[in-house]
Amino acid sequence: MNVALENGATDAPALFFQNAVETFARAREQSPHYSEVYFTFAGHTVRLCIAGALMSERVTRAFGHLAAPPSAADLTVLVWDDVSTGTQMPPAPWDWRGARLEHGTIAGFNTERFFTTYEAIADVLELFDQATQTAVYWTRDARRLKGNEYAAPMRTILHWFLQAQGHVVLHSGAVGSAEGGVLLAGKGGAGKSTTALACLGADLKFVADDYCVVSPGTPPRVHSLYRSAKLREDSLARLVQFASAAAPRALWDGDKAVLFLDGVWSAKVTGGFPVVAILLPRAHGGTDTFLKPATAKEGIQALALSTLAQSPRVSQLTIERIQALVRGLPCYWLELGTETAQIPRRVEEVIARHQVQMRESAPL
Amino acid sequence: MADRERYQVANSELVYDNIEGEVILLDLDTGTYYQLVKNAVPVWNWLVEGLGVSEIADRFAPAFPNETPQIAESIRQFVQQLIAEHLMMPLADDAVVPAPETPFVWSPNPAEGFVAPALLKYTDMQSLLLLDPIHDIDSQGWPILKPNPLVV
Repeated sequence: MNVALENGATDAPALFFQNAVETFARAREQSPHYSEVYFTFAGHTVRLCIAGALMSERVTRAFGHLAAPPSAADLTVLVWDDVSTGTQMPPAPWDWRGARLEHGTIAGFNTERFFTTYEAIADVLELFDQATQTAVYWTRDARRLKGNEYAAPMRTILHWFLQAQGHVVLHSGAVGSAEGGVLLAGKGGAGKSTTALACLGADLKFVADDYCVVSPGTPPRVHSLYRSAKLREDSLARLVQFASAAAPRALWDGDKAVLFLDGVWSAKVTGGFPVVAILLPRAHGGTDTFLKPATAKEGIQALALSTLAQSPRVSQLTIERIQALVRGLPCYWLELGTETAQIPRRVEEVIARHQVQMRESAPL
Repeated sequence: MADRERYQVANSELVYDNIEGEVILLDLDTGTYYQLVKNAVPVWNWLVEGLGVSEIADRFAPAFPNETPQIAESIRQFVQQLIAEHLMMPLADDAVVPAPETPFVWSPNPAEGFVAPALLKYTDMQSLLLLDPIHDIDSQGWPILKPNPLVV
C-alpha cells in the first residue's frame, strides 16, 4: 500500500507516517494472519486491514455489530503489532522527554494534514492522514491490549475522522428503540453504564455505554461505536445477568469488568436512533429511581465537560454543536435508586413522552 | 489584592467540574474552554469554597515548608489570571459563602516540589499541556514497558 504524499515531502510527520505504512506492508507479508474487515460508523464505511490474529480479536470484538460487506472505504486503518508479525516499528523521531502533550498528542507531529498520538499506558500509537483518509493503529504486543483499549479501541482515530465528517463524538451512553431514545450524560462514576445495562432487561436497546457519535439534525441521531460496557465489580454483582458477558478478569480495566454485548446479547444492541432527550444519571442513595428536570446548563456541563476531558483536539465547532444539541433537547436528572428494575421504567417514560412531542411537531 | 480577599465565579455562563483529577471549565458564551491541572485544581476548588489567598497558601505550607513566599505569590498571580479571563471576581467582604457539602480534599506530592498553578486556555485545535517526560526508552526508540504479569 502506498500513501500518496506531495512530491518532495520532507516534513517529519509525513516521513514518519510513510515509514509506518511501509512497516505495515512488511507486517502484512510476514504475518500468517491477515484480514480486511469492514464496518459502518455513522453511515461511513471504515476498512480495517489487520495483520495478526490476536490483534484482530482485540480490535474488532467491540465493533462486531457494525460489520458491513466490502465496499469503497471512507477511511482505511492499518492495524498490527510487532510481536505477532515479527516486525519492528521504526524508532519514534521525537524526543520523548518533551514530546507528549495532553491526550498523548505528540508535539510537532500534528499538522493540518497529519495527526499523531501515543497512549503510554496502553502502548498504542495512532496516526491519521487527512489527505488520504488513512490511519495507523499500532502497538508492540497485542497481548497488552486490555481494559479501556479492548473495550473501546481506536477512539482517537474515530474521533478525528468522525469530527471532520461533521459528527460529534461524545462521552455518553445511549439507550432506546428505533423510534427514539436518550443520551446518558455524565462523568465517570455517574451511573451511565449501570443505567444503560439495566435498561436491557426492558424493551430498550443498547447503543452506547461510554462513547457514541451524534449527527446534528432535527432530530439529532445517535450512532453506536462499541458494543462494550464497563462495570465496577459491585455493580456487576447487582446486574448479575451480565456476568456471562464479562471478558476474563485479566482483560478488565482495573476493578472494572469489560463486557461485550455479543452472543446472546446481540439482539439487544442497535446501530442508532433519533435522540429525544438527555438524561443525567446520578445516585442519590435511596431505593427509588425518579426524574427531575435539568437545565440546559446542567446538561451542557454533564455532556461537554467530560467529552472535553476525554477527547483530543476538540474544535470550537464541536463545542458549539454540543451546546446546540443540548439546548435543542429536554434534559432530566435521572436520580438513581438501588432498585435497578425501576431504571428502565423511568427511561421508557421519558422516551414515550418526548416521542409523542416529536411526532406532533414533525412537518406534515 | 489583599491576601484575605475572597472570590466567586464571575461568569454565570461558566460551567466547570472536577473530572479525573483535573478541572475543566467551559464559557458557554464564548465557547472557550480551560483546563486546570496539578496545584491549580485545589487552588480553584478552595477559591470556590470561599478561601482567600493566604488561607490557601497556608494549606500548602505543611507539604512545602521552604516555599511559602513563592506559593503565596504564585497563587496571587493565578487569581489575577482568573480575573483577567472573567472567571473569578472579588467577593464583597461581608458576603457569606455557604460551607460546601463535600469540602475539597487534596493530597500534595512534596517530591515534585511546588508547581505554580496555571490556567490553560484552549484556542481552536491547540494542545498546550505537556505530559510528564518519558526518560526510559528502549533500544528501539520506544518507551520501556513495565512488565505486565497479566499479558494474555
